[in-house]
Amino acid sequence: MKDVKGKVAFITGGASGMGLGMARAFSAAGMKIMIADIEAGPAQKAVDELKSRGHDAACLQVDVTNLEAVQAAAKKTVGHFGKVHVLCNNAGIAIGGKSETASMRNWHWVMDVNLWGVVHGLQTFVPLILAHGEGGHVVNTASMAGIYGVRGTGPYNASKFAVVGMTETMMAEHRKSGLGVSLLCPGVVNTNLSSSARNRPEQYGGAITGEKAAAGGSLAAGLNPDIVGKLVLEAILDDQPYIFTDPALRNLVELRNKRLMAGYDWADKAKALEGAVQSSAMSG
Amino acid sequence: MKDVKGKVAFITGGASGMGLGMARAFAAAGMKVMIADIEAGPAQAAVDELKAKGFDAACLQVDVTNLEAMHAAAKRTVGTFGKVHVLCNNAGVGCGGRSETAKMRNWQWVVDVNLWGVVHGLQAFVPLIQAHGEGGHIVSTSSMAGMITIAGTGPYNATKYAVTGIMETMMVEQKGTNLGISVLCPGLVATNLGSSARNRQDQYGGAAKANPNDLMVNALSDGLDPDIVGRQVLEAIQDDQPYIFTNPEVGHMFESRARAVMSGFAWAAKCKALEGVKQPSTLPGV
Repeated sequence: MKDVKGKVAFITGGASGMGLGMARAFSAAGMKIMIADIEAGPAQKAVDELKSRGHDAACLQVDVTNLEAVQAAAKKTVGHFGKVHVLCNNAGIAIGGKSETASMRNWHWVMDVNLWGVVHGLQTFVPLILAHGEGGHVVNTASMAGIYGVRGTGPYNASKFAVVGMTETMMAEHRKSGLGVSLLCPGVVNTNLSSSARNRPEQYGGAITGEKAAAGGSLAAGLNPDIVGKLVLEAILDDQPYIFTDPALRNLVELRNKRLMAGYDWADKAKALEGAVQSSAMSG
Repeated sequence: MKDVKGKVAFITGGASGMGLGMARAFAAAGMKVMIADIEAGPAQAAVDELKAKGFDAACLQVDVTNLEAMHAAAKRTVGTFGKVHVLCNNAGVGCGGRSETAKMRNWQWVVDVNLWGVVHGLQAFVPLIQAHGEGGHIVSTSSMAGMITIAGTGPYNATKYAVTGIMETMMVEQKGTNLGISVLCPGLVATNLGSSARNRQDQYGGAAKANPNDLMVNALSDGLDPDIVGRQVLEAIQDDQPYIFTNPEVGHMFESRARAVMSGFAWAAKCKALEGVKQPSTLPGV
């Protein structure tokens, strides 16, 4: 999208962190903003801030794990602003733990928010955006942990790898549909992700507050999330598919690529594959 | 694991395709094999075949979407063979469709089998393998679609990327331990993945016949012999090889994905929003 002025953005997790950074950057560029967040108070505060600067914004309390709630939010957004052009599937939570020993309730929580939250956003908004024909853009917030498997957060990494796979697939599918598709892979950003459990619903074990809530270490030394918001706006304007917030982390991706290509070297020499007849369908 | 003789393997989706290929290769190498499959008849036929060759094998009907069923299967496997050393999280289903328009029931089906099936296997077996101290190996079946994306199968790709992420994380976490970790990323293999819906449970819409025009059904039919994949997996366990690619000729697909990712870093290095910004340039857990 070259021209974002007057266009409408729906941002999940828009009341704080990178979502709020996007709301600020988008509205400063003349967009109308619907902030969707599980936290009603901070969402209203964000709207008040944007309105005090003369921007057009509104908010809705939405739990992205609930498909009907997301659908209802879409209806309200269209009712309020007429259309939606930009969808930012940004709401996400973090938990620590290994895949084989994390509590199943935490496993379900991280998948319900980070994976199903994105799916619900896509199912609800993509058909709406495609229908009005004015074009649009989808930005899904994954993580560097969706590209490189950092230790100690297996379930979180799994949810973020899934978002990467989904979004890369959409990049291939929407090359000509007028819908831009971007994948946001933040490094360390100074958000309140570490205290996600403050919003953990009852069915996943309930809220945890204070020091016990911290997961994944401190993010305080991380990038200012308002910068990430500006970066996302720039990516939408440039139709840039991959949005990395820390250029130096390319080292990690290079390391992963090297390990993976070593797997091809091994396969080249594997006895089991000597003389094997392969389908040619994928090699073109 | 250099020495697999007498060791015990638990293989989900072991009654057909690559799982059966693993069962045949492992049994031929002297391993004891527990075949876990949602299809009781083919599982029993596989056990009969292995026993006829003089191998030690048994089977259990297991739906990997059910964590309690996996725990029960682990208990029965220990009851039958004493221990488990090798876990192959191989059961998987294929479903077509885009992320934004696939039926939610199909979305849930593919996530429940391909993602939660792997999680349930890890939760039920990894502590058991670690407890006996003899070492072991975990192989989870992802896909080339867990490494690079193929248009038209968004939900499937999402689950396979997730499996890749789980296993790559475990590779880092289990480094230096006696638990080997591999992720199997098959290209086209001649399995019955294209007719997965024959076993679709009622809660996901029930069983359905394969569409003969389905892209996946046609593409798989001239794929690699799954018995070859079974032998390759055995070789990977013995070599402690983390990535198992079945078609070395498609490495260029990953390279082109890697180039696209790297062009994202090149864009970030030039973009206005990041000009003059100082960053940690590391990640927690690296």
